[in-house]
Amino acid sequence: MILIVDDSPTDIELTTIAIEDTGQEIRVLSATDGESALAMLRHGQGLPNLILLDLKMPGMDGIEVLREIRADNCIKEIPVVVITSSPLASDRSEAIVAGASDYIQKPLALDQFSKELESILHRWLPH
Amino acid sequence: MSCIMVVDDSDLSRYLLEAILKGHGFTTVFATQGEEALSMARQNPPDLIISDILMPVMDGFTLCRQWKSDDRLKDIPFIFYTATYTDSKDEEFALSLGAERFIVKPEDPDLLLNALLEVLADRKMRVVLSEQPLEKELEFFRQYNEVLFRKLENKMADMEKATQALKGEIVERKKAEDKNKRLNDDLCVRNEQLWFANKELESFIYSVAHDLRGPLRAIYGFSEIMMKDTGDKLDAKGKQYLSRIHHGTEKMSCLIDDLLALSSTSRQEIQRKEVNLSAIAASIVAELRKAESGRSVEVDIKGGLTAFADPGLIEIVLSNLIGNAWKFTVKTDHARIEFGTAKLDRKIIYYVRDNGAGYNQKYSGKMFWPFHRLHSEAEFEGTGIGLAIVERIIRLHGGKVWAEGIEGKGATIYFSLT
Repeated sequence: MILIVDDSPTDIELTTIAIEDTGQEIRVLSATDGESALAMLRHGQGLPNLILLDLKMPGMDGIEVLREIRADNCIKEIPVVVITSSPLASDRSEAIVAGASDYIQKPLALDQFSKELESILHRWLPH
Repeated sequence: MSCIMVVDDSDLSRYLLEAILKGHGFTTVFATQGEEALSMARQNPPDLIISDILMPVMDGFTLCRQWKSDDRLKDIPFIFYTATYTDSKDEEFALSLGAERFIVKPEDPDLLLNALLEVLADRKMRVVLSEQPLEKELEFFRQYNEVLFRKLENKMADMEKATQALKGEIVERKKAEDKNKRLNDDLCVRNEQLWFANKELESFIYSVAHDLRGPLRAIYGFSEIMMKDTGDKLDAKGKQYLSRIHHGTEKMSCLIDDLLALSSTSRQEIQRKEVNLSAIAASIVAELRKAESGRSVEVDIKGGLTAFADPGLIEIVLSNLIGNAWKFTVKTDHARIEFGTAKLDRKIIYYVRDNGAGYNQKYSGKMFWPFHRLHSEAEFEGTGIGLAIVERIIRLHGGKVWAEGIEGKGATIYFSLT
Protein backbone atom coordinates (compact mmCIF):
# COMPACT_ATOMS: atom_id res chain seq x y z
CA MET A 1 0.00 0.00 0.00
CA ILE A 2 1.29 3.46 -0.98
CA LEU A 3 0.18 6.84 0.39
CA ILE A 4 0.48 9.76 -2.02
CA VAL A 5 0.50 13.17 -0.34
CA ASP A 6 0.08 15.96 -2.88
CA ASP A 7 -2.03 19.13 -2.91
CA SER A 8 -2.80 18.71 -6.62
CA PRO A 9 -5.48 16.08 -7.45
CA THR A 10 -4.21 16.08 -11.04
CA ASP A 11 -0.73 15.20 -9.84
CA ILE A 12 -2.19 12.45 -7.63
CA GLU A 13 -3.98 11.06 -10.65
CA LEU A 14 -0.83 11.20 -12.82
CA THR A 15 1.26 9.59 -10.09
CA THR A 16 -1.36 6.88 -9.69
CA ILE A 17 -1.31 6.21 -13.45
CA ALA A 18 2.50 6.12 -13.39
CA ILE A 19 2.37 3.56 -10.56
CA GLU A 20 -0.18 1.48 -12.50
CA ASP A 21 2.13 1.70 -15.53
CA THR A 22 4.86 -0.03 -13.57
CA GLY A 23 2.68 -3.09 -13.80
CA GLN A 24 2.60 -3.72 -10.08
CA GLU A 25 -0.62 -4.32 -8.26
CA ILE A 26 -0.51 -1.79 -5.48
CA ARG A 27 -3.24 -0.16 -3.46
CA VAL A 28 -2.94 3.61 -3.58
CA LEU A 29 -4.24 6.01 -0.90
CA SER A 30 -4.01 9.74 -1.15
CA ALA A 31 -4.17 12.91 0.91
CA THR A 32 -4.20 16.47 -0.41
CA ASP A 33 -2.63 18.15 2.60
CA GLY A 34 -0.15 17.45 5.39
CA GLU A 35 -2.62 17.40 8.29
CA SER A 36 -4.97 14.88 6.72
CA ALA A 37 -1.99 12.73 5.69
CA LEU A 38 -0.77 12.62 9.30
CA ALA A 39 -4.31 11.90 10.53
CA MET A 40 -4.58 9.00 8.11
CA LEU A 41 -1.23 7.63 9.28
CA ARG A 42 -2.06 7.96 12.97
CA HIS A 43 -5.70 6.88 12.98
CA GLY A 44 -6.23 5.03 9.69
CA GLN A 45 -6.52 1.28 9.31
CA GLY A 46 -3.15 -0.18 8.52
CA LEU A 47 0.07 1.65 7.68
CA PRO A 48 1.28 2.15 4.08
CA ASN A 49 4.50 0.47 2.96
CA LEU A 50 5.66 3.67 1.33
CA ILE A 51 4.81 7.35 1.34
CA LEU A 52 5.24 9.52 -1.77
CA LEU A 53 5.36 13.06 -0.43
CA ASP A 54 5.12 16.31 -2.36
CA LEU A 55 7.31 19.02 -0.87
CA LYS A 56 5.46 22.16 -1.80
CA MET A 57 1.98 22.24 -0.34
CA PRO A 58 -0.08 25.04 1.12
CA GLY A 59 -0.33 25.00 4.90
CA MET A 60 1.88 22.29 6.34
CA ASP A 61 4.55 21.68 3.72
CA GLY A 62 6.29 18.41 2.89
CA ILE A 63 9.33 19.08 5.09
CA GLU A 64 7.09 19.65 8.13
CA VAL A 65 5.11 16.48 7.41
CA LEU A 66 8.39 14.61 7.10
CA ARG A 67 9.62 15.90 10.47
CA GLU A 68 6.34 14.94 12.15
CA ILE A 69 6.58 11.43 10.72
CA ARG A 70 10.19 11.00 11.82
CA ALA A 71 9.33 12.21 15.33
CA ASP A 72 6.43 9.80 15.78
CA ASN A 73 7.53 6.37 17.05
CA CYS A 74 4.54 4.56 15.54
CA ILE A 75 5.13 5.71 11.97
CA LYS A 76 8.74 6.81 11.81
CA GLU A 77 9.97 3.58 10.14
CA ILE A 78 7.86 4.06 6.99
CA PRO A 79 10.04 4.95 4.01
CA VAL A 80 9.21 8.41 2.67
CA VAL A 81 10.14 9.28 -0.91
CA VAL A 82 9.99 12.97 -1.58
CA ILE A 83 8.58 14.02 -4.92
CA THR A 84 9.58 17.46 -5.97
CA SER A 85 9.02 19.42 -9.10
CA SER A 86 11.94 21.67 -8.23
CA PRO A 87 15.18 20.95 -10.09
CA LEU A 88 17.15 22.55 -7.28
CA ALA A 89 19.61 20.40 -5.38
CA SER A 90 19.10 22.55 -2.28
CA ASP A 91 15.45 21.46 -2.02
CA ARG A 92 16.47 17.82 -2.22
CA SER A 93 19.24 18.12 0.33
CA GLU A 94 16.86 19.84 2.75
CA ALA A 95 14.50 16.90 2.39
CA ILE A 96 17.26 14.36 2.97
CA VAL A 97 18.36 16.22 6.09
CA ALA A 98 14.74 16.22 7.36
CA GLY A 99 14.67 12.43 7.03
CA ALA A 100 13.57 11.59 3.48
CA SER A 101 14.54 8.09 2.37
CA ASP A 102 14.82 9.05 -1.30
CA TYR A 103 13.64 11.62 -3.80
CA ILE A 104 12.33 11.88 -7.34
CA GLN A 105 12.20 15.02 -9.43
CA LYS A 106 8.85 14.82 -11.17
CA PRO A 107 9.70 14.57 -14.85
CA LEU A 108 7.56 15.99 -17.58
CA ALA A 109 7.10 12.73 -19.40
CA LEU A 110 4.83 10.19 -17.80
CA ASP A 111 6.69 7.12 -19.11
CA GLN A 112 9.90 8.45 -17.60
CA PHE A 113 8.12 9.07 -14.30
CA SER A 114 6.86 5.53 -14.40
CA LYS A 115 10.36 4.19 -14.97
CA GLU A 116 11.75 6.15 -12.05
CA LEU A 117 8.88 5.04 -9.83
CA GLU A 118 9.55 1.43 -10.77
CA SER A 119 13.07 1.58 -9.41
CA ILE A 120 11.88 3.44 -6.31
CA LEU A 121 9.24 0.78 -5.62
CA HIS A 122 11.80 -1.92 -6.18
CA ARG A 123 14.11 -0.31 -3.68
CA TRP A 124 11.60 0.47 -0.92
CA LEU A 125 8.73 -1.99 -1.11
CA PRO A 126 9.05 -5.42 0.53
CA HIS A 127 9.41 -8.16 -2.06
CA MET B 1 79.86 119.04 36.92
CA SER B 2 79.18 115.41 36.08
CA CYS B 3 81.92 112.85 36.20
CA ILE B 4 81.91 110.30 33.40
CA MET B 5 83.79 107.00 33.63
CA VAL B 6 85.01 105.69 30.27
CA VAL B 7 85.95 101.97 30.04
CA ASP B 8 87.68 100.97 26.82
CA ASP B 9 90.81 98.97 26.06
CA SER B 10 91.53 101.07 22.98
CA ASP B 11 93.69 104.12 23.56
CA LEU B 12 92.27 105.82 20.51
CA SER B 13 88.69 105.37 21.63
CA ARG B 14 89.49 106.68 25.09
CA TYR B 15 91.20 109.67 23.56
CA LEU B 16 88.30 110.52 21.26
CA LEU B 17 85.74 110.25 24.06
CA GLU B 18 87.85 112.29 26.38
CA ALA B 19 88.01 115.02 23.76
CA ILE B 20 84.26 115.06 23.27
CA LEU B 21 83.35 114.88 26.93
CA LYS B 22 85.84 117.41 28.15
CA GLY B 23 84.76 119.68 25.35
CA HIS B 24 81.27 119.64 26.85
CA GLY B 25 82.36 120.31 30.38
CA PHE B 26 82.36 116.78 31.81
CA THR B 27 85.13 115.44 33.95
CA THR B 28 86.36 111.98 32.96
CA VAL B 29 87.98 108.99 34.57
CA PHE B 30 89.30 106.03 32.56
CA ALA B 31 89.61 102.26 32.93
CA THR B 32 90.85 99.75 30.32
CA GLN B 33 88.70 96.78 31.44
CA GLY B 34 85.78 95.81 33.68
CA GLU B 35 87.52 94.80 36.87
CA GLU B 36 89.51 97.99 37.01
CA ALA B 37 86.38 100.03 36.35
CA LEU B 38 84.50 98.30 39.21
CA SER B 39 87.17 98.85 41.81
CA MET B 40 87.60 102.48 40.77
CA ALA B 41 83.87 103.17 40.89
CA ARG B 42 83.41 101.52 44.29
CA GLN B 43 85.97 103.92 45.73
CA ASN B 44 84.74 106.91 43.81
CA PRO B 45 81.37 106.49 42.09
CA PRO B 46 80.98 108.45 38.82
CA ASP B 47 77.72 110.02 37.60
CA LEU B 48 77.68 107.82 34.48
CA ILE B 49 79.67 105.02 32.87
CA ILE B 50 80.35 104.48 29.19
CA SER B 51 81.74 101.05 28.40
CA ASP B 52 82.99 99.07 25.45
CA ILE B 53 82.03 95.35 25.19
CA LEU B 54 85.11 93.43 24.15
CA MET B 55 87.89 93.96 26.64
CA PRO B 56 90.52 91.76 28.31
CA VAL B 57 90.07 90.34 31.87
CA MET B 58 86.43 91.44 32.27
CA ASP B 59 84.22 92.31 29.31
CA GLY B 60 81.50 94.95 29.20
CA PHE B 61 78.56 92.55 29.72
CA THR B 62 80.08 91.12 32.92
CA LEU B 63 80.90 94.59 34.09
CA CYS B 64 77.32 95.73 33.49
CA ARG B 65 75.86 92.74 35.35
CA GLN B 66 78.06 93.30 38.38
CA TRP B 67 77.50 97.07 38.19
CA LYS B 68 73.73 96.68 38.23
CA SER B 69 73.83 94.18 41.07
CA ASP B 70 76.01 96.41 43.23
CA ASP B 71 73.78 98.45 45.57
CA ARG B 72 76.09 101.41 45.50
CA LEU B 73 76.47 101.47 41.72
CA LYS B 74 73.20 100.20 40.29
CA ASP B 75 71.55 103.60 40.06
CA ILE B 76 74.43 105.03 38.07
CA PRO B 77 73.47 105.02 34.35
CA PHE B 78 75.36 102.52 32.20
CA ILE B 79 75.85 103.18 28.49
CA PHE B 80 77.31 100.65 26.09
CA TYR B 81 79.34 102.32 23.38
CA THR B 82 80.64 99.63 21.12
CA ALA B 83 81.79 98.73 17.65
CA THR B 84 81.30 95.01 18.21
CA TYR B 85 77.57 95.21 17.64
CA THR B 86 76.53 92.33 15.39
CA ASP B 87 72.83 91.92 15.80
CA SER B 88 69.82 93.03 17.77
CA LYS B 89 70.32 90.23 20.28
CA ASP B 90 73.40 92.03 21.66
CA GLU B 91 71.36 95.13 22.33
CA GLU B 92 68.49 93.18 23.86
CA PHE B 93 70.92 91.37 26.10
CA ALA B 94 72.70 94.56 27.12
CA LEU B 95 69.43 96.28 28.02
CA SER B 96 68.23 93.20 29.87
CA LEU B 97 71.29 93.49 32.08
CA GLY B 98 70.04 96.93 33.09
CA ALA B 99 72.03 99.15 30.74
CA GLU B 100 70.29 102.43 29.94
CA ARG B 101 71.53 102.78 26.37
CA PHE B 102 73.25 100.77 23.68
CA ILE B 103 75.03 103.00 21.18
CA VAL B 104 76.91 101.74 18.17
CA LYS B 105 80.23 103.33 17.07
CA PRO B 106 80.91 105.41 15.17
CA GLU B 107 78.06 107.60 16.34
CA ASP B 108 77.67 111.26 15.69
CA PRO B 109 79.22 112.94 18.77
CA ASP B 110 76.10 115.08 19.19
CA LEU B 111 73.83 112.08 19.33
CA LEU B 112 76.10 110.43 21.87
CA LEU B 113 76.03 113.57 23.93
CA ASN B 114 72.25 113.88 23.69
CA ALA B 115 71.85 110.31 24.85
CA LEU B 116 74.24 111.00 27.66
CA LEU B 117 72.38 114.12 28.79
CA GLU B 118 69.03 112.33 28.55
CA VAL B 119 70.22 109.50 30.72
CA LEU B 120 71.65 111.94 33.25
CA ALA B 121 68.39 113.91 33.34
CA ASP B 122 66.40 110.69 33.83
CA ARG B 123 68.61 109.84 36.69
CA LYS B 124 67.94 113.16 38.39
CA MET B 125 64.23 112.56 38.02
CA ARG B 126 64.53 109.09 39.45
CA VAL B 127 66.37 110.48 42.40
CA VAL B 128 63.56 112.95 42.97
CA LEU B 129 60.95 110.21 42.62
CA SER B 130 62.80 107.93 44.91
CA GLU B 131 62.36 110.50 47.58
CA GLN B 132 58.71 109.39 47.71
CA PRO B 133 59.30 105.66 47.54
CA LEU B 134 55.87 104.50 48.72
CA GLU B 135 53.99 106.72 46.34
CA LYS B 136 56.27 105.76 43.50
CA GLU B 137 55.84 102.10 44.27
CA LEU B 138 52.08 102.45 44.50
CA GLU B 139 52.00 104.28 41.20
CA PHE B 140 54.20 101.62 39.68
CA PHE B 141 51.89 98.89 40.91
CA ARG B 142 48.84 100.84 39.80
CA GLN B 143 50.23 101.21 36.32
CA TYR B 144 51.53 97.71 36.34
CA ASN B 145 48.08 96.49 37.38
CA GLU B 146 46.45 98.54 34.68
CA VAL B 147 48.73 97.09 32.08
CA LEU B 148 48.12 93.61 33.36
CA PHE B 149 44.40 94.23 33.52
CA ARG B 150 44.32 95.53 29.97
CA LYS B 151 46.29 92.56 28.84
CA LEU B 152 43.96 90.25 30.74
CA GLU B 153 40.93 91.99 29.27
CA ASN B 154 42.31 91.57 25.80
CA LYS B 155 43.08 87.95 26.53
CA MET B 156 39.53 87.44 27.85
CA ALA B 157 38.06 89.05 24.75
CA ASP B 158 40.25 86.83 22.56
CA MET B 159 39.19 83.78 24.50
CA GLU B 160 35.55 84.78 24.30
CA LYS B 161 35.90 85.12 20.54
CA ALA B 162 37.65 81.76 20.32
CA THR B 163 34.93 80.17 22.45
CA GLN B 164 32.20 81.64 20.26
CA ALA B 165 33.95 80.39 17.15
CA LEU B 166 34.33 76.98 18.75
CA LYS B 167 30.67 76.93 19.74
CA GLY B 168 29.74 77.77 16.16
CA GLU B 169 31.97 75.01 14.93
CA ILE B 170 30.47 72.52 17.39
CA VAL B 171 26.96 73.46 16.26
CA GLU B 172 27.99 73.08 12.62
CA ARG B 173 29.59 69.75 13.34
CA LYS B 174 26.56 68.55 15.25
CA LYS B 175 24.38 69.58 12.32
CA ALA B 176 26.63 67.72 9.90
CA GLU B 177 26.63 64.69 12.16
CA ASP B 178 22.83 64.76 12.44
CA LYS B 179 22.56 65.06 8.69
CA ASN B 180 24.96 62.17 8.25
CA LYS B 181 23.00 60.08 10.69
CA ARG B 182 19.73 60.88 8.92
CA LEU B 183 21.22 59.96 5.57
CA ASN B 184 22.62 56.80 7.05
CA ASP B 185 19.27 55.87 8.59
CA ASP B 186 17.56 56.57 5.28
CA LEU B 187 20.07 54.38 3.55
CA CYS B 188 19.50 51.57 6.05
CA VAL B 189 15.74 51.77 5.59
CA ARG B 190 16.08 51.83 1.82
CA ASN B 191 18.51 48.97 1.94
CA GLU B 192 16.08 46.97 4.00
CA GLN B 193 13.21 47.80 1.65
CA LEU B 194 15.34 46.78 -1.27
CA TRP B 195 16.28 43.56 0.44
CA PHE B 196 12.63 42.71 1.10
CA ALA B 197 11.59 43.69 -2.43
CA ASN B 198 14.33 41.48 -3.76
CA LYS B 199 13.31 38.58 -1.53
CA GLU B 200 9.69 39.03 -2.51
CA LEU B 201 10.56 39.05 -6.18
CA GLU B 202 12.70 35.98 -5.85
CA SER B 203 10.12 34.02 -3.94
CA PHE B 204 7.55 35.13 -6.52
CA ILE B 205 9.73 33.89 -9.37
CA TYR B 206 10.39 30.70 -7.48
CA SER B 207 6.69 30.06 -6.76
CA VAL B 208 5.60 30.88 -10.27
CA ALA B 209 8.25 28.64 -11.75
CA HIS B 210 7.34 25.90 -9.34
CA ASP B 211 3.57 26.16 -9.70
CA LEU B 212 3.73 26.41 -13.46
CA ARG B 213 5.21 22.96 -13.64
CA GLY B 214 2.07 21.29 -12.23
CA PRO B 215 -0.34 22.21 -15.05
CA LEU B 216 2.44 21.63 -17.56
CA ARG B 217 2.91 18.09 -16.33
CA ALA B 218 -0.83 17.58 -16.60
CA ILE B 219 -0.88 18.79 -20.23
CA TYR B 220 2.13 16.71 -21.10
CA GLY B 221 1.07 13.65 -19.11
CA PHE B 222 -2.51 13.50 -20.36
CA SER B 223 -1.54 14.19 -23.96
CA GLU B 224 0.91 11.31 -23.58
CA ILE B 225 -1.84 9.07 -22.22
CA MET B 226 -4.10 10.17 -25.05
CA MET B 227 -1.45 9.31 -27.61
CA LYS B 228 -0.94 5.90 -26.05
CA ASP B 229 -4.53 4.98 -25.38
CA THR B 230 -6.32 6.55 -28.31
CA GLY B 231 -3.51 7.37 -30.74
CA ASP B 232 -4.58 4.69 -33.21
CA LYS B 233 -7.94 6.46 -33.58
CA LEU B 234 -6.27 9.73 -34.63
CA ASP B 235 -5.32 10.60 -38.19
CA ALA B 236 -1.89 11.94 -39.13
CA LYS B 237 -2.95 15.54 -38.47
CA GLY B 238 -4.31 14.72 -35.03
CA LYS B 239 -1.10 12.94 -34.14
CA GLN B 240 0.91 15.92 -35.33
CA TYR B 241 -1.13 18.26 -33.15
CA LEU B 242 -0.50 16.05 -30.15
CA SER B 243 3.20 16.02 -30.89
CA ARG B 244 3.18 19.82 -31.10
CA ILE B 245 1.49 19.97 -27.70
CA HIS B 246 4.38 17.85 -26.45
CA HIS B 247 7.05 20.08 -27.94
CA GLY B 248 5.36 23.18 -26.62
CA THR B 249 5.21 21.85 -23.10
CA GLU B 250 8.80 20.61 -23.30
CA LYS B 251 9.95 24.04 -24.33
CA MET B 252 7.99 25.66 -21.54
CA SER B 253 9.43 23.20 -19.08
CA CYS B 254 12.94 24.25 -20.13
CA LEU B 255 12.03 27.90 -19.65
CA ILE B 256 10.75 27.20 -16.17
CA ASP B 257 13.84 25.23 -15.25
CA ASP B 258 16.02 28.11 -16.38
CA LEU B 259 13.89 30.62 -14.52
CA LEU B 260 14.27 28.55 -11.37
CA ALA B 261 18.00 28.31 -11.90
CA LEU B 262 18.24 32.07 -12.38
CA SER B 263 16.26 32.76 -9.24
CA SER B 264 18.34 30.30 -7.27
CA THR B 265 21.67 31.81 -8.34
CA SER B 266 20.72 35.17 -6.89
CA ARG B 267 19.65 33.55 -3.63
CA GLN B 268 22.93 31.74 -3.31
CA GLU B 269 25.84 32.78 -1.15
CA ILE B 270 29.22 32.26 -2.71
CA GLN B 271 31.88 30.13 -1.09
CA ARG B 272 35.25 30.72 -2.66
CA LYS B 273 37.93 28.12 -3.11
CA GLU B 274 40.93 27.67 -5.35
CA VAL B 275 39.34 26.36 -8.57
CA ASN B 276 41.08 24.77 -11.54
CA LEU B 277 39.26 26.47 -14.40
CA SER B 278 41.19 24.62 -17.11
CA ALA B 279 40.11 21.26 -15.72
CA ILE B 280 36.47 22.33 -15.44
CA ALA B 281 36.51 23.66 -19.00
CA ALA B 282 38.07 20.42 -20.27
CA SER B 283 35.39 18.29 -18.60
CA ILE B 284 32.61 20.49 -20.01
CA VAL B 285 34.07 20.10 -23.50
CA ALA B 286 34.33 16.33 -22.99
CA GLU B 287 30.61 16.21 -22.08
CA LEU B 288 29.70 18.25 -25.16
CA ARG B 289 31.77 15.98 -27.40
CA LYS B 290 30.08 12.93 -25.88
CA ALA B 291 26.60 14.38 -26.46
CA GLU B 292 27.35 15.34 -30.06
CA SER B 293 30.01 12.95 -31.18
CA GLY B 294 29.34 13.80 -34.83
CA ARG B 295 30.74 17.31 -34.52
CA SER B 296 34.32 18.27 -35.07
CA VAL B 297 35.31 21.32 -33.05
CA GLU B 298 38.85 22.49 -32.38
CA VAL B 299 39.08 23.45 -28.72
CA ASP B 300 42.00 25.33 -27.20
CA ILE B 301 41.98 25.56 -23.41
CA LYS B 302 44.85 27.45 -21.83
CA GLY B 303 46.48 25.18 -19.24
CA GLY B 304 46.82 25.86 -15.53
CA LEU B 305 44.13 28.51 -15.25
CA THR B 306 42.96 28.87 -11.66
CA ALA B 307 40.74 31.29 -9.78
CA PHE B 308 39.54 31.89 -6.24
CA ALA B 309 35.84 31.41 -6.81
CA ASP B 310 32.78 29.33 -5.94
CA PRO B 311 33.43 25.98 -7.69
CA GLY B 312 29.76 25.11 -8.33
CA LEU B 313 28.85 28.54 -9.63
CA ILE B 314 31.96 28.92 -11.76
CA GLU B 315 31.17 25.59 -13.38
CA ILE B 316 27.73 26.98 -14.32
CA VAL B 317 29.45 30.02 -15.85
CA LEU B 318 31.89 27.99 -17.92
CA SER B 319 29.25 25.48 -18.88
CA ASN B 320 27.02 28.28 -20.20
CA LEU B 321 29.81 30.10 -22.03
CA ILE B 322 31.41 27.03 -23.57
CA GLY B 323 27.95 25.56 -24.24
CA ASN B 324 27.01 28.74 -26.10
CA ALA B 325 30.23 28.69 -28.10
CA TRP B 326 29.52 25.05 -28.96
CA LYS B 327 25.95 25.86 -29.96
CA PHE B 328 26.75 28.94 -32.05
CA THR B 329 29.50 27.18 -34.03
CA VAL B 330 27.22 24.37 -35.18
CA LYS B 331 26.97 25.88 -38.67
CA THR B 332 30.64 26.93 -38.84
CA ASP B 333 32.95 24.93 -41.12
CA HIS B 334 36.10 24.90 -39.03
CA ALA B 335 34.60 25.47 -35.64
CA ARG B 336 37.03 26.70 -33.03
CA ILE B 337 36.54 27.46 -29.34
CA GLU B 338 39.17 29.06 -27.14
CA PHE B 339 39.29 29.53 -23.38
CA GLY B 340 42.11 31.78 -22.18
CA THR B 341 43.15 34.86 -20.27
CA ALA B 342 44.23 38.38 -21.02
CA LYS B 343 45.25 41.34 -18.90
CA LEU B 344 43.24 44.50 -18.49
CA ASP B 345 44.38 47.27 -16.14
CA ARG B 346 46.88 44.81 -14.67
CA LYS B 347 43.99 42.47 -13.74
CA ILE B 348 43.50 39.01 -15.17
CA ILE B 349 40.40 38.63 -17.30
CA TYR B 350 39.15 35.36 -18.72
CA TYR B 351 37.53 34.86 -22.08
CA VAL B 352 35.68 32.26 -24.11
CA ARG B 353 36.00 32.89 -27.85
CA ASP B 354 34.39 31.20 -30.81
CA ASN B 355 34.30 31.69 -34.56
CA GLY B 356 30.58 30.95 -34.82
CA ALA B 357 27.49 32.97 -35.63
CA GLY B 358 28.60 36.04 -33.66
CA TYR B 359 26.10 38.83 -33.16
CA ASN B 360 25.45 42.44 -33.93
CA GLN B 361 27.57 44.49 -31.50
CA LYS B 362 24.70 46.99 -31.34
CA TYR B 363 22.79 44.56 -29.11
CA SER B 364 25.66 43.46 -26.90
CA GLY B 365 24.22 45.25 -23.86
CA LYS B 366 20.98 43.30 -24.08
CA MET B 367 22.50 39.86 -24.29
CA PHE B 368 22.91 39.61 -20.49
CA TRP B 369 19.24 40.40 -19.81
CA PRO B 370 17.05 37.46 -18.85
CA PHE B 371 15.04 36.04 -21.78
CA HIS B 372 16.79 38.28 -24.29
CA ARG B 373 17.98 36.47 -27.34
CA LEU B 374 20.02 37.78 -30.23
CA HIS B 375 19.13 34.87 -32.52
CA SER B 376 15.80 33.45 -33.52
CA GLU B 377 14.55 30.23 -32.05
CA ALA B 378 14.59 28.70 -35.53
CA GLU B 379 18.29 29.55 -35.94
CA PHE B 380 19.53 28.45 -32.53
CA GLU B 381 17.61 26.88 -29.65
CA GLY B 382 17.64 28.48 -26.25
CA THR B 383 15.69 30.34 -23.60
CA GLY B 384 17.86 33.44 -23.22
CA ILE B 385 18.60 32.74 -19.59
CA GLY B 386 22.15 31.37 -19.76
CA LEU B 387 24.02 34.66 -20.02
CA ALA B 388 21.75 36.28 -17.45
CA ILE B 389 22.78 33.54 -15.02
CA VAL B 390 26.43 34.05 -15.99
CA GLU B 391 26.11 37.78 -15.36
CA ARG B 392 24.56 37.19 -11.94
CA ILE B 393 27.23 34.74 -10.87
CA ILE B 394 30.05 37.02 -12.04
CA ARG B 395 28.41 39.93 -10.25
CA LEU B 396 28.13 37.83 -7.06
CA HIS B 397 31.90 37.35 -7.33
CA GLY B 398 32.44 41.09 -7.64
CA GLY B 399 33.50 40.74 -11.28
CA LYS B 400 32.26 41.99 -14.62
CA VAL B 401 31.23 40.32 -17.84
CA TRP B 402 31.09 41.82 -21.31
CA ALA B 403 31.09 40.70 -24.91
CA GLU B 404 32.59 41.47 -28.27
CA GLY B 405 31.28 40.07 -31.46
CA ILE B 406 31.00 40.40 -35.21
CA GLU B 407 27.99 39.04 -37.02
CA GLY B 408 28.94 35.84 -38.81
CA LYS B 409 32.52 35.93 -37.51
CA GLY B 410 32.19 34.85 -33.89
CA ALA B 411 31.95 36.18 -30.36
CA THR B 412 34.16 36.60 -27.33
CA ILE B 413 32.75 36.78 -23.83
CA TYR B 414 35.14 38.30 -21.28
CA PHE B 415 34.79 38.11 -17.53
CA SER B 416 36.69 39.05 -14.41
CA LEU B 417 36.20 37.46 -11.01
CA THR B 418 37.08 40.20 -8.52
